[in-house]
Amino acid sequence: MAPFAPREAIDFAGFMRIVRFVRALLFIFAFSTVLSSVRGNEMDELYGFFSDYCFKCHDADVQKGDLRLDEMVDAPDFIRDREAWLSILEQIETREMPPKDPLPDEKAYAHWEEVLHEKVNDIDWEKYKHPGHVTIPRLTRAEYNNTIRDLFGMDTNPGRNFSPDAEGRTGFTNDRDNLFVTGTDLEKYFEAADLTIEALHSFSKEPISWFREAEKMFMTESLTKPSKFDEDSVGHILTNGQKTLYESVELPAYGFYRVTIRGKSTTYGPAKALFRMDDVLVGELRVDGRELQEDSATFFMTPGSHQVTLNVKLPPRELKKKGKDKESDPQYTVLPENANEIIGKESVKRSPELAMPEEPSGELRKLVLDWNRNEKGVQRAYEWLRLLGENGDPNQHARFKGYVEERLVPLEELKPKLAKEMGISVKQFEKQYAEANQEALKDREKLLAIENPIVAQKRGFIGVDWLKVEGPVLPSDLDNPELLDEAVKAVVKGKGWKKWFPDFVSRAFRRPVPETEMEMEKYLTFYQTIRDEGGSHGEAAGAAVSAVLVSPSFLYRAEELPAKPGDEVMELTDHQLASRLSYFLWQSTPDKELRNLADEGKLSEEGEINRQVKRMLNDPKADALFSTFPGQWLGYESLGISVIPDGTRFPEFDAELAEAMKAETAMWFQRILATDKSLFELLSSDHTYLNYRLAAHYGIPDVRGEELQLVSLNEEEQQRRGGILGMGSVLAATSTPVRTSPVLRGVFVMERILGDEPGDPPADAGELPGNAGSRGKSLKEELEIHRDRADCAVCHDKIDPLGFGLEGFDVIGRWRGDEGKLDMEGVLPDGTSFTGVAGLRTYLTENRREDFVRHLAERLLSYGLGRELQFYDEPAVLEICEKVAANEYGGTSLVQAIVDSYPFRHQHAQTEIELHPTKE
Amino acid sequence: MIRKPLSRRTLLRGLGATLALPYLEMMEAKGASASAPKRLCSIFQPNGVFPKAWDVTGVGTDFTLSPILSPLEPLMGDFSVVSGLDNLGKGHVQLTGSFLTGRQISLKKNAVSLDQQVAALVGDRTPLRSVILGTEPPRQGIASGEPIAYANTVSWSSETTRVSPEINPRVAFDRLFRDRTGPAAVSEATRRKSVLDLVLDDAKGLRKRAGSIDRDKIDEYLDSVREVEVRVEKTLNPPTPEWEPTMAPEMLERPGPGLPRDRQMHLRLMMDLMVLSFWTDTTRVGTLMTAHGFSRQNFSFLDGVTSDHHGMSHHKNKEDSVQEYTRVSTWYIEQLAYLLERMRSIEEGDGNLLDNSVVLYGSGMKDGNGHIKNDLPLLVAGGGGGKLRQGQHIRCEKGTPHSNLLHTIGGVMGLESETFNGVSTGVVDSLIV
Repeated sequence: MAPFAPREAIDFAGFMRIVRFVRALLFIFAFSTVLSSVRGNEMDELYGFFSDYCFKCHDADVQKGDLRLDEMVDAPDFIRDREAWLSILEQIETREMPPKDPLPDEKAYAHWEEVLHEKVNDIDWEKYKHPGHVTIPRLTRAEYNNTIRDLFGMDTNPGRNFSPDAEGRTGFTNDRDNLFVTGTDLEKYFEAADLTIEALHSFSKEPISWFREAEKMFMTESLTKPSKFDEDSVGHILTNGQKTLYESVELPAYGFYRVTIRGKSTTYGPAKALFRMDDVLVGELRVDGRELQEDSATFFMTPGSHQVTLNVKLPPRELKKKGKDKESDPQYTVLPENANEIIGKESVKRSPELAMPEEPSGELRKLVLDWNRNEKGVQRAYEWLRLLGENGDPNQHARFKGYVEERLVPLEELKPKLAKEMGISVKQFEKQYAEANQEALKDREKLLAIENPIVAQKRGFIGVDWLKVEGPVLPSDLDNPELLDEAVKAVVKGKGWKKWFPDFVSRAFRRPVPETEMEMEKYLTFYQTIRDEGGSHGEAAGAAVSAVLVSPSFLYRAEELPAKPGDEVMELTDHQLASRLSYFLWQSTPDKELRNLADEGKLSEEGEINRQVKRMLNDPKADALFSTFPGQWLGYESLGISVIPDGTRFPEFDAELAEAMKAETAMWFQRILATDKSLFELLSSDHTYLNYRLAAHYGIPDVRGEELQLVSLNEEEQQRRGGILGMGSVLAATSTPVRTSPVLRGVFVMERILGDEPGDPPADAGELPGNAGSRGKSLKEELEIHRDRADCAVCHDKIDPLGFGLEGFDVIGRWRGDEGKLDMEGVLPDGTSFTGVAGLRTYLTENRREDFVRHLAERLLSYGLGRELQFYDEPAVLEICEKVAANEYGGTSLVQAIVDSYPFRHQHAQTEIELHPTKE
Repeated sequence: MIRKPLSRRTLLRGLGATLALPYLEMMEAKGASASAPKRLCSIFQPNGVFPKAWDVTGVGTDFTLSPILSPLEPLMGDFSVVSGLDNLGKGHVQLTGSFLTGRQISLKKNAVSLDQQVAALVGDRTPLRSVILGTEPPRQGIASGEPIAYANTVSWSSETTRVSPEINPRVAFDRLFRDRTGPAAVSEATRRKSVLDLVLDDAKGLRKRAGSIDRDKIDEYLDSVREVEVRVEKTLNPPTPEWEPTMAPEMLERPGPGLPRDRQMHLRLMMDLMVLSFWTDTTRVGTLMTAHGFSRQNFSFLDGVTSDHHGMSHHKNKEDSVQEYTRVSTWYIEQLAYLLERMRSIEEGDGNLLDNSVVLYGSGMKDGNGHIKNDLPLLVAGGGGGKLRQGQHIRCEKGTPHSNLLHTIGGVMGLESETFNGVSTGVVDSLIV
């Protein structure tokens, strides 16, 4: 019998690969009484086996790879330490350990392989059922902003000054253990609440309208003369970043102000202006093409005297390169000189016509003539479209399509009058007319359907004619007018306050708060006291709403425990479920539909909740999930913010490119999860989302426009792009600022994609310098040198090959192929080899698909809960994976399975679980 | 940064009605105490140093500065190098977390840091208990089993509560130098007070209904309510200021929005804010994260530097890397010299601000190459209000925990305890007068 070693808090951190929960377990060990372990013979033999072959490197004295086995084997616990045992089993299965003599004989290997296999896999999970405890969640900064937006119907970013939430042990910023409140934070909550109240009051302020011609504004480059835009307009073309139009404007109050610009682009493409207020970028305004036009945007602004400035958002540099300008200027159809004449003739000939009835009344006759005259006007617009054809200037296309719509309006108005005079219904009239003019109407449909494939891609400089600032605007000018209107009326004007406020409290606390309850009464009394002391309604209402917004019931999403002691496992109520779901998918408060379902107790019904998940994933609010989860899971969230490739070496990399890269990945996740595409398309696909900028960066031709769009990839492109391994976001985030790093990329694949945690490197391992790979040896050769050291090689033999697969991409994710000394072949310790990203992709989708799905399920479950997974979550993870497999690995089914899982639906009063040691 | 001499008129004109200075009232105050208050300024520098370029030669008052420390030449006599002290834990996250606590982060828990212990003691005498400033946003990922984000700060206000540094100069400025006594502030404070009572009640109710684990979180909320209550109370019943600046403070211009792109400008701006908050007695406890504890900041703006700070810190004794590493370490000390000179230039009573401060500067590891945790690079500057003996190289006995230095400084600042966080084994005697 080996000497008994009491279980103590010993640091297993970093141990082997997947032991992420071990620390939490140690906590339990520290408090549990000494576990009595009566070892059977088999376990004595197990101890003997490990003692003979493993303790030399893994006992109290030596802990290679931070692994200490003597204690673990002394009283083996295959449940709590399951993941550790799984990786020990893997070492035995692959004969990787022990690395050198003395080696066990094959019989011993096989025996222990079988025994351990049974121990770690034949577990009756029912016995260890435990939903876990999610620490009471404080709203994250994003959750706070979104919640205020959805409570009031206005997007003011009130949490702009909150401290950023850092990622916790889960690797996500919604890690509930990791969200704090300090005195300073609470003050910031007060200030944010004040800002919300101010914003509500702004809607009743007297609006202002401020207007300036560009040529009257102060131009920083004073030698610049205004340009003549057309007969009536003069303005400034902003041709470089320094040229700034400047004015000062006095805003009376907090509020949403509409900023309108009239201008044109110097190309057929778009041109953008950056609108700043007191040097803070407020937003962008954009015009398309060479025709003067207006664009407005509504921004939340603060009161007082402000400097407003406009300058150009410069076109990206690669499109500014010499010689390229002309090439990319599209060649549009040149219209014949007698175009007008042609149009006139054709429109008379082709226009549909309403036949004059026999012996019409005077009124009817007038109506029919009116109709036909209008119809010819419509036809003229159609004839322009015909003349422009497929290669027409898109701006002209848009213009005449607009005319069609405009000119159809009077016809719609004539319809009922005509029908009445003719003694038939409007429907009958329409039917008769369509039958009589079948051919002409069909022809019109065709003309409308002309897609003009040439969309000007080259962004130009903006010419500004004038600038206008108006506001504060009315609630009806914003996105969610009803919600906002009610709030403004109640808080500012006192209209409907008695009904609105209690409802608001319930919405803010995310559960029904009956008016009769003390909790509600307190707030009502609070309001009344201020009134009684002579405060106005506005003051009292503002104070009451602020109070709700700094209350812990709002700032924390409490899932309170049942009153009955001993009853510690709690199934979430429908309202709690609505909140968990809503913060999982939207990072915001439940909407009306979820609240209503929860009120009726129907939300948790199986069909209903699946329907809701689908609906919510397809709501724009789910962007919060698609941008946060992949960014934090895959680790590229800081790209372009604090992770920035070296500017002198990679001048092409700018904020706009970083944004497009991140958007590509976010939209890809959206596609997979919201439209139930196969999860494996995350790794490998024949499509991706690109805009012209990212496409040019990737070397994919013919993608136009600034909006990211679904692009189908040809075979060669598929070798490189399609799936996250070929995305710029991931590739740039896994490089150092100056060179690529096969190690970082290898660790990325191993850890983030497959969920295997490589141990920490020995602290004196070193990093290759910035100029590695350019000192006469290839990066691969340099890396091989450091793998001479056995304690490095043990992990790097696994890490580096995965990274070499991605060496075909440079620091900012451009394809560089196999140029120079690049070596993209990876050989794993088990002999598997692959070349380049295509080979790596095949390896992952064919050999490691289950590992990938499992890891994704674990990460998304952990994100959904806001806590680290524990050993008792294993059955839930297994069940989720089974369900997903049964649904052809559809993305939506993954989210549905998570929402349906035991830990998602339950809460426990304790984090820890009382377990009996596995009996042997 | 442009400095302007301060007069009440400039103040009111420059800042408008919404911003005024806490020392406005001080200018009129009577009976401020004669002796200047003691300040604690703790400065953390990430990624260690190349030992040979940091270590000084000679012990006691007769020692020679090393290459990295050479920018401190003009300040000889105002600081002491303390060597031979050991940290505990491993890796960037733990070695940062322990810098001011002397304890190792374990199971999400640390201990209350030196600055926050002192803040708890003296913080209620000033408008703000403490000011925690930084320059780098939290970084992502996990290292050695701990979230890298933990290395975002060295300030812990409880075992589990990390205080995040403010990295935005404008937000920091507004928070430090807002109006705290004017009519608008009073009416705001009155409103806040009534709301605080209300939500305190909510929190207590919630606490009752919560499980034991969540109570810790709600206690955090309750503590912050109390903290705000104290501030509100100070506005409603302004205490007689204890200290009136000898030299009229030079107001800083309100910084522009966002983060300055120039690293040196950013760091110096945060230092200016720190100095001004001490000068005006807005706070007596300041902590500065010169960068994140696992900083990968690109230093190629310095001549001869091509890589990021963390990358070069794993230099494997290669000459190129060591040179880059030392260049960056020296740059950090240049910034420290700027701060110390600034503090020394501010007259207070018979001495200056530096005389009345304790400035602790250092890193949680010695050599980044190997994450060496022994013989930390540490120095202490300032007179500590006449309590510190400066101008020496103090070599501590091998194996002395660095918490002994924290204990020593805590003692100077008025903390009374047997040990520091239960881990120190004594004090650094030679530092004390």
